[in-house]
Amino acid sequence: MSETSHKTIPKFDPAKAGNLPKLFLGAGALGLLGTLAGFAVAPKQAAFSYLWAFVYAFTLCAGSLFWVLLHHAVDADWTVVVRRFLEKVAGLFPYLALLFLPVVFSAPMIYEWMTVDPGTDVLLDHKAVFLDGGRNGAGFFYYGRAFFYFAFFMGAATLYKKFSVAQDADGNPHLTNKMRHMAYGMIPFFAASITFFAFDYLMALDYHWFSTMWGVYIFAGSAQSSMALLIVISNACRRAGYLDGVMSVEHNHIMGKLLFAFTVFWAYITFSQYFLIYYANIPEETWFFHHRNTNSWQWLSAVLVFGHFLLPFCLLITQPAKRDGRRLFWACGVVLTMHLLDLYWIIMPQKQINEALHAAGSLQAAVAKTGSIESLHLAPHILDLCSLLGVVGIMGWLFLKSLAQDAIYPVRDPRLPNSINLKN
Amino acid sequence: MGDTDTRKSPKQRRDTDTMTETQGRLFGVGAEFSSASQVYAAAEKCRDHGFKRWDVHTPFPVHGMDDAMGLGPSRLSFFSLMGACTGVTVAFLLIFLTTADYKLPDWVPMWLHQNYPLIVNGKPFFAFEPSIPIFFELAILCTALFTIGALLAMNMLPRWNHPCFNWDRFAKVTDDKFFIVIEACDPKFSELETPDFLKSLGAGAVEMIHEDKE
Repeated sequence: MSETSHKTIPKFDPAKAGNLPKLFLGAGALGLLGTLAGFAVAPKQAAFSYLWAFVYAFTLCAGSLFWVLLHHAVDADWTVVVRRFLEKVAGLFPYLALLFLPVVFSAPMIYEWMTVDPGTDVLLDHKAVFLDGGRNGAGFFYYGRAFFYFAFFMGAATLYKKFSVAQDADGNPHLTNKMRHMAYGMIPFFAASITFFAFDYLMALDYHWFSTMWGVYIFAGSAQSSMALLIVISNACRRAGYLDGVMSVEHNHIMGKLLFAFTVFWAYITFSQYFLIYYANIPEETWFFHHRNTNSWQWLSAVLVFGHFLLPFCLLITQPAKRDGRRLFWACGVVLTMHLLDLYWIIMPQKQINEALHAAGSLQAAVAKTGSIESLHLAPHILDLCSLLGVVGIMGWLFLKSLAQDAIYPVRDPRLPNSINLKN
Repeated sequence: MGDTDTRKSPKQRRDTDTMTETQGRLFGVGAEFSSASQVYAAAEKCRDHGFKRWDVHTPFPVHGMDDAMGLGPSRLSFFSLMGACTGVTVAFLLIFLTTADYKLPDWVPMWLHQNYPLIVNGKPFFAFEPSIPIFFELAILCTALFTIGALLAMNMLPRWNHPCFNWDRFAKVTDDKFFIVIEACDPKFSELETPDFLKSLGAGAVEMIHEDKE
């Protein structure tokens, strides 16, 4: 039994993927070099661009880890044939931790509160326990938390990858139970880690602003876009013939349903966040949306409403759309692009806001003339592209490398037959 | 094949031939099977034979039975969509007529000329943000009601009794037996051949089921 199964272990062959790994590596190297040059020429812009690209990769990996945890916690069986892709994407977390270091070093250029002296802003002083900045950097608690988040993400992703690959060799069903029991304990840590990461590195961009829905908002985007990524990867492998007789249109149907569900979930959360802030009408909260509805930024806000929600919603609402790989692929492209724009919309306006506040001295002075900051404009920069190509290229190359190491699906998972014979 | 029964239309057959002194008119023929795999295989044969008005009754859901019976996708979702559209329309009218500041042309019926602008929390009249939760909730409510209503109507529920219950063995359908019932109004139904057909599929018991006596 083991003799034959060893012979037939289906593995991803990078040689058959043509120029794809080289393309990823080339784009990644060029992009990262460009970003490095950017840090020398325009450090502020480079810091913001890099944060954007990094958070994009981070959300995709964290979302994949979420799907792995969910699969085990609810004892699902349909996921088995595509689970290895999720494990491999989440398994990139150690590299992601390395890519996080530039964010740490450039943080004082991004987060205003790190350079504000204690005692000058009463609202910041109240948050000083949590945002312990003020010495042109942040304190032990701030970075200690980040260490914990990454320790958890790296540990969880590595453990799941390890156990799953170990099961390929011996087919021990005990490992399935072990991974399930681990998942129960890890889900609260996952929720805390992604929520506080979102607080620390995205919400803290504007230290006056706060939203209690922020964590779940970032999570919704992560889960949605990582499902889209899973559909893209698994269908690409299916087309290349790696999943013949294993993955069927039924898997596309079920992943399409989840993508649709999380499209609605993202819209629900995003609207709820906006709606509560709109209704309560507290200045510290409303500025976030006010800035993002100033000048050309409001076009991006509108694009998000239609492109992040309505377009995928309409593309995916019918049953044939979820079963047809080509239509599903387009919807995934839309979701992945819109998630990128969503993060752009979160991060980039803050650079211009910071600059305007420095020039005018205070928010009141900056908005005295017209009621909003007039210098706010959608201003794409070449460094945005460099950082994105750099981070996504390197991660893509690492993913393909890691995919080639083990079987392309968990060949001896006890639930594999159930997953192969999936019927909706 | 030369039998006169099969030449008559299902309607005629129901009205004349099968009304007896003690029983109502013929409802159909029922067949009892003892396992899910048996009834699954039998359902595939019935589908391939071309029966249209027939059903499978099992004590628990059997996966893949839809395909085995040749049932297409359900039309229920159409009613759900109609429910959602109705809900949004009702919500729009409800909010618009009671809070918006508007002037309608004269040809619109008088009762729509409410124009009762209502200031809520200092927001603009008929602002879209506070309206969306109402659109959403009413859309969900109407979808649920339409879906339940259409589900009952398509299953011809509620009803007091069903002819199948006139067959004693059918009570086992909630226990450990599996049934196929082919109705007499099916175009391919034949009083003589269909029971034999069902027996050939491995049915344990085959019996004519009659409706209640009128």
